[in-house]
Amino acid sequence: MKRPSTLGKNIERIDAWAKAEGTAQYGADIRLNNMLFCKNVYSERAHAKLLAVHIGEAEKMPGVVKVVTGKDIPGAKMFGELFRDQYALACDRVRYFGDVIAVVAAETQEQANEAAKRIYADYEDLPVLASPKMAMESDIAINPEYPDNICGEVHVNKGDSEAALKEAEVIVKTNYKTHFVEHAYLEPESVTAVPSPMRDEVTVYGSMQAPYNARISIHRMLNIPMSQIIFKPSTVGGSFGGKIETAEANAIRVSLIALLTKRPAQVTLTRDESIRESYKRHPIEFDIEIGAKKDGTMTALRMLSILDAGAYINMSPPVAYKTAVLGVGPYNVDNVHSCSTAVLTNNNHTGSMRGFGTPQSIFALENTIDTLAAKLGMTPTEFRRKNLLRNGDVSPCGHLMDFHEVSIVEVMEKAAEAIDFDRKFKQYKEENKDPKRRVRRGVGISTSMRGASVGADGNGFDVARVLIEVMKDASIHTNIGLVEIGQGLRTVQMMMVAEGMGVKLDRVTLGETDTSRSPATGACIASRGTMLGGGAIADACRSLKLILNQGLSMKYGDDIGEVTYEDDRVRFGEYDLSFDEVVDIAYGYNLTPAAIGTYAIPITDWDEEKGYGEPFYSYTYSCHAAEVEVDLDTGAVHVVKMAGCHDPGRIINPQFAEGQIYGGLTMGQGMALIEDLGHSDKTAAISNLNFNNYLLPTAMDVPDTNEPILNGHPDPRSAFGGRSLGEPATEPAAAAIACAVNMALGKPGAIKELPFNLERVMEIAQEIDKQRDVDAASAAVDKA
Amino acid sequence: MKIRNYIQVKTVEAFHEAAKAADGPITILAGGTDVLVNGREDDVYKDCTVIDIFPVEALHGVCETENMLLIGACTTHEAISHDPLVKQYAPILAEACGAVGSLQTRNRATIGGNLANASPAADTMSALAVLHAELVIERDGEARVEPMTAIFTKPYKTNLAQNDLITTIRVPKQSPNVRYDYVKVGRRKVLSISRMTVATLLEMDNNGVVTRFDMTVGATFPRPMLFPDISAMLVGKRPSEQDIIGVAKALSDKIPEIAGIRKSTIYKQPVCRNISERSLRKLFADILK
Repeated sequence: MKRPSTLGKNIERIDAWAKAEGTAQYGADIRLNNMLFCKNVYSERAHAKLLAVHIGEAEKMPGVVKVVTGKDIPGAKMFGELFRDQYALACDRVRYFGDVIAVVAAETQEQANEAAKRIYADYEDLPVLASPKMAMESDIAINPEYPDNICGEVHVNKGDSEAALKEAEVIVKTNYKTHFVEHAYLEPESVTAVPSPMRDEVTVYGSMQAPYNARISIHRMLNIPMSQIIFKPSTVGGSFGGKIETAEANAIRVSLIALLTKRPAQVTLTRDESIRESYKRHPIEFDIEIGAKKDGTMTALRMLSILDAGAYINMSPPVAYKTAVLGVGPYNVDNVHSCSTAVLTNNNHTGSMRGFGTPQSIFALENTIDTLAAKLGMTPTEFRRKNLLRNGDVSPCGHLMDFHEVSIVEVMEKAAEAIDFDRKFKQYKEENKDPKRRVRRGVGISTSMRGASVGADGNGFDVARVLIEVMKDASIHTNIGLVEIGQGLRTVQMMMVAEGMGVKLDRVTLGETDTSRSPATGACIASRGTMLGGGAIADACRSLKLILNQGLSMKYGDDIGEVTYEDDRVRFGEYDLSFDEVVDIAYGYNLTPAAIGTYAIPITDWDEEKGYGEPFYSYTYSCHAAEVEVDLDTGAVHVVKMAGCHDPGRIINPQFAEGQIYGGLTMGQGMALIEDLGHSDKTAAISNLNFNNYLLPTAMDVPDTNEPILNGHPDPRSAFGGRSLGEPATEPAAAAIACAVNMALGKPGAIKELPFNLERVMEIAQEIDKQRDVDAASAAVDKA
Repeated sequence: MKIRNYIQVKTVEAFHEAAKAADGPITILAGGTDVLVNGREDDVYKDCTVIDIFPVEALHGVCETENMLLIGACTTHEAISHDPLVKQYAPILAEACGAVGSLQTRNRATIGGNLANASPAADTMSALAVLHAELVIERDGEARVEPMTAIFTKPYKTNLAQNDLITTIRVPKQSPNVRYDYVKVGRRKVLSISRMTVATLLEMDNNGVVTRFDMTVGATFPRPMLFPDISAMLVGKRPSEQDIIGVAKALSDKIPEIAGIRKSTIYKQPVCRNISERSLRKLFADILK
């Protein structure tokens, strides 16, 4: 008999009503007695020596309480999770337009804003390196520790790709380029720091997703013990990977002000400031080559990618890792070479963003695959059906796939079926031959396999922790530092606690995230919250049950045998007790039913030097399919429908999973078609600093018919069977739309650069029109 | 947003008084969708007396005379897009007003404000141009009438004096035989600044001979324009496929001619030609058969 479980049910989000009714408190909602309002002053140069910052005039302005510069930071001057190279307040150099040179704190926001205008700096200009190419060719080092401006390089090697390409019967060699993309969280960064009246202690509230990282930075830079830095993230109004380093830099600044003035201090960025300062998705340039046999067997794959890291290293090396090891896709190919290089420039730094280096590579790879398929006379699905990984295959990086269900073929078939891909591909290909047809239709498909959590470049430090306490009223209180960023994680954590303890869901309570109550945990990043948090929860539940069992043994004797916790009942031998009774027994014997659970992902066998082995512990399989209309008269692309099918392991909460997919499809659509920061590759400036120019898809642009498809196979490598979905939900989307547009244009792989906006599509449409005119002329000649 | 002074008026007369009394520059606030955005962070209005005319009832709504629609300058785009008189006598304007921004914007933004702001990308301008709309402008209580296209000097600049108030947009009523087409090209479906608009208005006699023809492009030239030479290409003719191709080419050739060759010309010129052809084929579908 299958026992009823909380898992797999559409449990209502615990924060749904607070968010819907407006009672949830976001960063900028916080108002405290005696609070100072802060304003950042940004660098006026993209690259310069910072000779002096003049704050005297600002200090005399009405209401100004404090102005801080880099000099005021008592400890280390730089922060960073992996590489400590980023200024919170610039000291000797500015490296991009988002560097902050001073912060003003005043009684009102208006006063702070006015005073900030009076601050100016003396600069000695340095050459602006506004693209990886410029930076690699320059003898100027943005960071002296990286003289060639290269800050990360990752490679994958399997077989002999060079020899295999020589032998290949059909080859496609091409290149692609992607752009800066803004996270576009609706809530800009807002952080509030509150000093303790008793000791050197600061409590930080605000919109952030990695509080434990920020705690380390404040400890190092402001010289106070880690225990006296308390982070309590507010309700987060969108993140997508974006509420880490920028929020952290602002947390450092306001904490400094709070400690110096002994007053609470808040900074809330305007949208323009947020876009100016925050890190972006990496622009990547790809050179790619794929070889195959005439029968369609993929034999060789080479992918070289150059990532624009911007002014600070941030997450560039691990992003390059994912571009290199996941960019090669879910294909069964024996000979692979992939190399990703991250280059420092004077652009906005680039870091974590939903997909983390893969939406770009999937765009490049899947369009190259469509080009190859066309050359082989195969349809996109025929080629993929033949070459996608199956159970027992070895992945392109060398991972033997024998530990879970490798469902990518099934996932692809379901996505394809949802838009009737095979029939439409045939029909549209035929109808698009009509030269009079000005609005052409197309379908596209793209696949991915995404490593769950951080991967082997984080071997050894990929850990999560949780504290769970069974209270005397038999409620189960959970404190976990993995932050809710809108995905429903907290509700899922409660569902997993209920499952782990075998109790009904309403026994489980969850504390607000608070670093002073929850043990240090790796952050809510890398689509790891469910799998890693689940592992820690399962571990804590095991410990708690041992403690409760101890009470049972004390009462009923040592030979009670196996105890099962199910359906809110505790059963052993002939006994069938309520959970409440069991908790009473434990407390009656003065036991402490509280436990810290820890889960670390097992170290995988990845040889970094060779670039071969097991780059991740497990994978999520995804396929997006898109149908579009392309107007040859204007270059406009209308997305008719998208379908996203995913196998993220066990589906813990179907409604949340579908929500992730709806959002992921939309995010990919924006990246593919319209989002553009207006970055200048001469000055490194961004011109589209607000949502009037940085265009996102609106509700009217997103098809009502978009379809999420869940194809979960519980993963034996995950405690509750669930893996990852946050990033998989968006990573293949832009590629699928590109493939569809190219199909409509009758030119597989034709769009080389994102976003494919009106102008870029029109350029190809004009080529088609020119060809049509040439064909018509030659036909007329033939006739004559 | 910093301003020198804020005055709300309820009548046109009160506006004139306030304008006369104002010391220094005046900014007229209608729907606020431009003024509030421009003034958000910068100090552009800090020396200005802001006169809020939105509450002036006489400036809201549409009425008719025998030959004209009279549209109050403070009538919102949303109101115009649903107004029965506009839909009957100038449907191209209803369509153009419906293409503006989002519902929220259309509910605030006014047609008079849209004209006075003089953005070359204003969605209504190409439609008002082909309708040969006129503006009633009042200064110190004295009214004058000017063709709509005459007030613009360059992008975001008009020849209106600071105490000039656009009170009414006069739109000649169109007969039911008039055919029209309005096309907007934007980067997304709503909340989109036009990349280009193409507005066409024409009338034919019973034999399919064109008696009146106006076609123009918006969001492309520094100010709204009409082209007598383009009109002349079809008037008096029963158009053929070749005529349509000719008109579309001539209209799109105006882009480099007037606006100069810019980065955007590569896109705009062929798109103008394509959508002009498409519009004309649609309008003359029965004639071309």
